[in-house]
Amino acid sequence: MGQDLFSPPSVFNYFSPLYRIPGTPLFGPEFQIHNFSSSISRGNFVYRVVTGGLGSGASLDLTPYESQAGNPAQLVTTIAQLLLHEPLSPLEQQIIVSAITHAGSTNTTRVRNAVYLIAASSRYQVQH
Amino acid sequence: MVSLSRRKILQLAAFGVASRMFPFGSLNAFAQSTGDYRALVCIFLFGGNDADNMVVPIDGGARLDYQTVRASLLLDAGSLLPIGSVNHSTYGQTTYGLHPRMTHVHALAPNLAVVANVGTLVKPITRDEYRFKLQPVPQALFSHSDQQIQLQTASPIAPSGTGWGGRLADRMQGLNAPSTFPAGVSLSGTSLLLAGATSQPVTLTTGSVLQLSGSSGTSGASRNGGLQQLLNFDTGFSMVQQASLTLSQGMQTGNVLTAALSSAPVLSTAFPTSSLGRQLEQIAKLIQVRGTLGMRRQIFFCATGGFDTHSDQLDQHAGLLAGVSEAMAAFYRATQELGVDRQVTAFTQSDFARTFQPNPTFGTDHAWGSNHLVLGGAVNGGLYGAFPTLKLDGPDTTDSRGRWIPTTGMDQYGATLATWFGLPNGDLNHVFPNLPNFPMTNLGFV
Repeated sequence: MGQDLFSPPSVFNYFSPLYRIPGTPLFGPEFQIHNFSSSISRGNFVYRVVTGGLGSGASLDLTPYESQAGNPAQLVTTIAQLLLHEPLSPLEQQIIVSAITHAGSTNTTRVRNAVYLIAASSRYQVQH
Repeated sequence: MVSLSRRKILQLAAFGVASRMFPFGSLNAFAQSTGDYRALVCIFLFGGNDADNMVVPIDGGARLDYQTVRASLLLDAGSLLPIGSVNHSTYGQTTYGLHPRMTHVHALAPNLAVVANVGTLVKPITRDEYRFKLQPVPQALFSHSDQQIQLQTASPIAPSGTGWGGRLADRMQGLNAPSTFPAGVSLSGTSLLLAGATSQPVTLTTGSVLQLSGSSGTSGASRNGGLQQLLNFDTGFSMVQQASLTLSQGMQTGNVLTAALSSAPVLSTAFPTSSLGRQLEQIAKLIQVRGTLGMRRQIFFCATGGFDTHSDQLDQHAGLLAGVSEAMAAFYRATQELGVDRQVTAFTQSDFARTFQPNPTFGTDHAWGSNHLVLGGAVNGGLYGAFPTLKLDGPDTTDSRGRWIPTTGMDQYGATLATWFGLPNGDLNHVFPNLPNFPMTNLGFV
């Protein structure tokens, strides 16, 4: 994601503490480097994580959750409890369940997609 | 983008669904687009370019002063690339030349304007007014971050959340209707220049596509559809919604861009493989598909760094200028290849110039008024503005190191470009709020 910790572009580091989100009164320093390109990179990073694309030495084992994949609502609730600070709304829950139970989905794909959808969503990406 | 009420977010997000944001059926109709296209390309040289070794006097009294003061950093008169002459108020007729390594842009001299001694200003100011603090000056002169920001916001005292390019896009993007593709595109990170009140730029990175991985197949399609729906959902947290809007628009913009770029024939113009070269190449490709995107007005931002040459400057700076020259020249040739050379104008910006007097480590330190290059088929080649008198005790320096007080304000420089771009005169002061402080709003170089 281009976040090279020890080589910022200048002595002013990556973003200013005073940055305001354009068009709003909100302070959001990290939003200074959050744009279309970086948001897509974040999504793709999550994709690499869930598909084992982190390179050698780092992997994510999702198999313990596959036993819950038969009950997609339960699976989503479990993953949400692990990753989020507040529960999903019923509509979001429904959206995720519906997306992961597409035709031909397996336990593996259900878990992977549930983790992807929750981790790529803004509820997870933005500390609030 | 607009004020962040929940209703607005939902409206925007719903409206943003791909099929409605870009009426794909009508995109092909734009492909035959119109002759009336204009693009501005800002090339920001981060760090503060030593402009006094980019545009150098070749003869006369100015040359003598140059030789005396520049001493350890002086460029041989015979090596300079003559670019024009002016009748200088102190020196009389004086010829200037470009740095010897800028042969590529020098070859384009009829389409190259040099604008002398441009800088941030609140209003024109004399040396004594500066020294005795009789007139306001921009905040934090000589500070990298502040000057970089002021050159993009055109706001030398108060902080501003918008850039002059963004305000320009706000006023002009009606010409792009019905396309809602952003008029501003940055190839170098989040660009304050392009931030508007109603328009926000697209930020692209060279070498990566604006596409989510794994989108194909049943699983991918279902997952992406689910993600889009989640992004449209209003959680009630403003910042969460803001991030959702960014990703959502990123996905849609990415789809449109990928489709547009994939159908474009490869450009035959060769670009340097440097960062700036690749950014300008990407800009050329975006200009190539302006019809598919339905664009009539576009503003691009790209940048390169390394100009903060406090020590051992000579070789470093030579390399930097050679790189800028090659990249700019390649970009110009690409616009010729695309038949839009008269419709695209590239211009440089930089934090500030550097002390005319070198420091003990064969480098230079932060200064103020700088020289800039403007390149394009519509440009009236030549020298513009007033070059400083190169004396350390002269009328143009803030102090004894040769920091030139600008004789042209960045607002005047920008207003000239904006007017060419099509901004109505009545809107100039909105885009450049400081402009009323200056006598001339069009310098005539384009």
